[in-house]
Amino acid sequence: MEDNAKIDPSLFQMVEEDESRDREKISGPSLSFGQSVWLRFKKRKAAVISAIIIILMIVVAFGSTPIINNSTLVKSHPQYANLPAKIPGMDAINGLNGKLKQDGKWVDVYKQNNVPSNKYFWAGTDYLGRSLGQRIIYGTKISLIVALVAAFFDLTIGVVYGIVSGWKGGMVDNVMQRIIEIISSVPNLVIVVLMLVVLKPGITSIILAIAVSSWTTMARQVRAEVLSLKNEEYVLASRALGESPFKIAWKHLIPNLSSIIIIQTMYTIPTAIFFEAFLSFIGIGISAPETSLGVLLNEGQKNFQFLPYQMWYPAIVLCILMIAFNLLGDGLRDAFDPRGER
Amino acid sequence: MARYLLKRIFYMILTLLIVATVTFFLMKMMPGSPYANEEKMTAQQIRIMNEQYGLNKPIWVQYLIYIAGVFHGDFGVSFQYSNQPVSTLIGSRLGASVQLGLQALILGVILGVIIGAIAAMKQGTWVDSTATVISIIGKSVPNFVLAVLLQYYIGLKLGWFPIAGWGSFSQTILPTLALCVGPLAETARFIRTSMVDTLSSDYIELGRAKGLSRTEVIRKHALRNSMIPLVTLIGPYAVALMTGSMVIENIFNIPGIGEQFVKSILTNDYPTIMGVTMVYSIGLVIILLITDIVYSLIDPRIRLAGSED
Amino acid sequence: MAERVLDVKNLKIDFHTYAGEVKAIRDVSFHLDKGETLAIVGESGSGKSVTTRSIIGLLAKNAKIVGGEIDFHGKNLLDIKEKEWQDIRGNEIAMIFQDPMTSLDPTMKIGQQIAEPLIKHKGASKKEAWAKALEMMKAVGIPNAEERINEYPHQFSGGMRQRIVIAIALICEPEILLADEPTTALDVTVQAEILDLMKDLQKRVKTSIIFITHDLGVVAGMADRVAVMYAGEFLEYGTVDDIFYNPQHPYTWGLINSMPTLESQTLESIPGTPPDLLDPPKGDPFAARNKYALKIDLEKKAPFFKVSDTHYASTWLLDPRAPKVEPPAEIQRRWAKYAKMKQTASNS
Repeated sequence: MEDNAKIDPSLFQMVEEDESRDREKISGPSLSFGQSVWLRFKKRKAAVISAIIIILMIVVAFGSTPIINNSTLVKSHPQYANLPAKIPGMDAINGLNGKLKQDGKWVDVYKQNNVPSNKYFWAGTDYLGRSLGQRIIYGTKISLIVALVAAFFDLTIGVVYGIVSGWKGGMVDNVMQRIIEIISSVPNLVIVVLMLVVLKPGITSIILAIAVSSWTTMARQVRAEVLSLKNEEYVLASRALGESPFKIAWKHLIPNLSSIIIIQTMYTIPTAIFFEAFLSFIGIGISAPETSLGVLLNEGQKNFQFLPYQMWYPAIVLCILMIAFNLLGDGLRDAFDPRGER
Repeated sequence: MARYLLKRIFYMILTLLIVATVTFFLMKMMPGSPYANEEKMTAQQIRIMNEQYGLNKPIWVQYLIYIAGVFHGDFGVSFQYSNQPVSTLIGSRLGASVQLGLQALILGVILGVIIGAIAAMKQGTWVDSTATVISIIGKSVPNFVLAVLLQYYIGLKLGWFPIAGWGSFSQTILPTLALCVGPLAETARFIRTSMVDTLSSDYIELGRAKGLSRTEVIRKHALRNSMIPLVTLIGPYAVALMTGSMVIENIFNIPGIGEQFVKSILTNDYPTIMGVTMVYSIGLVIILLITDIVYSLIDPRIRLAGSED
Repeated sequence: MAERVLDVKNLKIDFHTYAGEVKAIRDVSFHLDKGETLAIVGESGSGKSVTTRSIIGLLAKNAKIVGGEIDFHGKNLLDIKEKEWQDIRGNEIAMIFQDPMTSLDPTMKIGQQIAEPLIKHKGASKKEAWAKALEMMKAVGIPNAEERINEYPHQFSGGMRQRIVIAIALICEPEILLADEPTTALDVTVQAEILDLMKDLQKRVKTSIIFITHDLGVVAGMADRVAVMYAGEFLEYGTVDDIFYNPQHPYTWGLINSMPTLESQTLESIPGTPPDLLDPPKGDPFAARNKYALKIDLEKKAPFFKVSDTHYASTWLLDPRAPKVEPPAEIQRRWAKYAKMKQTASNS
C-alpha cells in the first residue's frame, strides 16, 4: 500500500483508444485442420517410422520390377538349393555367413555344395535354388498390390455406398443397410473362399474376393458420418441454395469424411495383406510357381525344422509390413482425432 | 422385445436363405463333375449316380430340395466321403472347433481385459507402452505364423506340449494360444480406449467427489462401463476364430470344421463346402442375435425396441 | 461474526501444458462463512472451476499448486494426503457438476448411486443407505421415488438428474457444497426450480455453498456474497447488493450491462477476449478490453480498495488520484438506486 503513493500521478490518465486496441490481437497463430493433423502426426514417432518403412518397402518392391520378375523367379538352380543367407562382410555372424546349424554344429553349406566363393545370397535360397531375397521382394510387391487394390475398392465401393445410403435416407437407406447386414452375417472368409472356388485361384481372384468382402465396414462408417453431416448447417444451407448433391458430396461431405476414410483405409490394408498371406498359406490363394509372402510362408513351413530361415525371413517381412500399417493407422487416427490423445 | 426378436429372426432366416441360394447356384456354376473318377465311369454309371444324387432333375427342383434339406439340417451327401451325409461329417467335427474357439475366446478376452485395464490405469507410463506394443504385435503377427513358431519352439524344441493332434487337454494348449492372440490384442486395445474414455467421464469424477478411492471408482464404475461395449465385439471375434480355425486346425492336425473346409476346397467337395458355409453363417447369425440380447440385458440404456440404428 | 468454514489465502495454481505454464489462478483469496452462499462469477477460463476443484482436491494431473493455503478446520487442504481427502470428499465437502446428463453412472441404479457416499463415509448398511437415499430423493422432489429409485439415469430428464446429483451431494450433509454451474446445462424454467431447491435444502442441511456461474442473473436470488473473477484473479467482491447496485470495477459494469433486465433496451457486450494466461499481462488483466483503462492499469494491478466493510474492488479508479469517469447509464441508474436504498436503511 505504501508504495502506491509513489506511483507517478501521470499514470492516472485514461489510455488512448488505439493504444488499448492493439493489445486485442489474438495471441498465437491459428492452425488449419491439415496443419494441426500434421503437427500431431509428426509427434507420433512410431507412426512416422512406420510411414518411412512403408515408403521404403514400396520403393524397393516396385523399383525392383525391371530386375526381379516372374520369369527370372521361376528358373530353378538346383546347384544352389537350400543355401542359407550369406552377406559379404558378415563372416563372423553365424546364420548370415553361409553357415547353417546341422546336428548342433554350424556347417558352411556354400563350401559343402561347392558354390563359388563370390556367390552371395543375402537371404539364402529356397529348395529350387532361387534367391529367397528376390522372392521376398517380389512377394512383398504382390502383397502390396493386393492391399492397395483392395484399399481402392474400399474407397470406391465403400465410400460411395455409404454416402448414398446416408444421404438418401429413408427406404433406400433401409434397404441398403439390410444388404450390408446380410453380407456381414456371412464371415468374410467364407465369401472369399467361395469366390476363390468359383474363380480361378490367382492374384486377380484374391483381389476381387477381398474387395467384395471388405467394403462393408467402410460403408457403415461413412454412412453414420454422412447421417450426422447431413444435418450440419453448412450442408443444409447448400441444400437450401439448390446445389446439386454431387457438388455437395464433393465440396462438403468428402472433406469432412476424409479422416474416417483415411483411417479405415489404413486398417483395410493390413487386413488385405493378412488375407492374401492366409489364403496362400493354406493353399487356396496364390500358389507356386507364383510367388507371394503367403506362398513363401507355406513353402518355408514345410522345411521349418531344418531350414528355419526359409520361413523366418518372409515371416519377418510380413510382420513388419503388418505392424507398420497398423501403427500408421493408429498414428493417423490419433492425429485426426485429438480426443484420443495419449 | 418380442416384436424385435421376431423381426430379427425373420432377417436371420432371410439372410440364411440368401446365403444358401447364392452358394447353391455358385456351386452349380462350377465346371467339372462332382465325381472324383468320372473318366473311368460309363455313361450308365453316371446316369445311375446322377439319379442317386438327384442331379438329373431340373435345377430349380434341385434347388428346392436343397433348401428344404437345409432347413432340416440336411446338407446333402459328400462327394469325397462316399455316401456320408455332410451333416454327419460336420457334426462329428463341430465339437473340436467349438471347444478350441471357446477356449481361445475366453483366454484371449480375459488376458485382453487385464492388459487393457492396466494400460488405461497406468496411462502414459512404460506399462501402457508395453501393453500397446503387445497388442500391436498381437494384431499384426498372423496367427498361422505364430502357430508354426509355437509348434516348433515350444512343442518340438522344449517339448512342453504335444505338437499336434486332438484328444487330451494338453493337445489343446498350443492351438488355443495361437488362436487367442487375435482376440487378446483386440480386447486389450478396445478396453484400453474404452477405459481411458470412461476414466475421463464426469461420473468417474463424481465418484471421486463422493470420496471413493481411485481403485474403488475403477472397480465400481469404470470397469463395468468399459467392459459392456466389449459384447459388441463377440461377433467379429467369432468371425476371426472361424477364420483362424481353418489354418490353426490344419497346422495342429485337429479334426475340426476348419480343417474339413480347407480339405473340401482343395478337393472340390461342393456339398461339404456349401454345408460348412451354411454352418458358419448360421453360427454367426445366432451369435449376433445372442450378442444383441445380452447387450440389452447388461446395458440398461439399450432397449430392443425397434429398428432405428 | 459468523463462523468461518473455509479460508482461501493467496492461492496460485499453474497448469503444465505443451505450450508452457498456464497461470490459471494468480493469487486468489476469499473466505466462506457457515450457511452462506458465495457466488464466483466469471467468463469461462477465468479460473473459477479450477478454484473449486482445488477445494475438493480434484485438480487435473497437470495442475501444480504454486502457493497459498486453503484452511478448513485448521487443516491446510493443499497439504493433506489422498487418504484424508477421501474422508473429506462427499462427506464434509461435496460437489455438483455442470452437466447432469453425464455425471451419473449410466449402468448403475440411481438408488445405489445416491447411497454410495453414505455407505462409504457413515458406514451405513445397504438397507439404511437405501432408506436414506429414498428419503433424499423425496427431499429433492423426485415424484414416485419408491419406484424410481430402481431406475437408471437415462430414464430421467436433465432436471431430474440434477436433482439426483444434488441428492448425492447432500446425503452426507456436507459443510461445504461446491456447485459448478449446476444449472447451465438446464432449461431456463428448470434452472429456477433447481435454484429454489438448492436454497431450500441449504437451510435444512445448513451447508455453505460456493456457487460458480458465468451468469450474473442466476446469482441475484441465490447468493449472499458475490466475487467477480477474471483471468485467474478476483477483481471485485461484496454482498449481492454491493455488486449489483454499487459495482466499482469496469469489468463488473460490463457484466451487469450485458445482463438483460426489464428496463434494458439493448444488450451490451464486452469487446475482446480474455488474456492469454500463458503470459498474463502484468497490470490489471482486464485493461486491454477496458474502455475506462488508466495508464497505471497496464503497469500494475490495483490493490483491493475498500468500498465498504463488505465490499472491495481492485481498480485504480478508486484511487483518489484517478480521474472521475462516467460509468454506463445502467450503472449510474443502479448507483442512484443504491444511494436511495442506503438512505431508507439509515432512515428507518
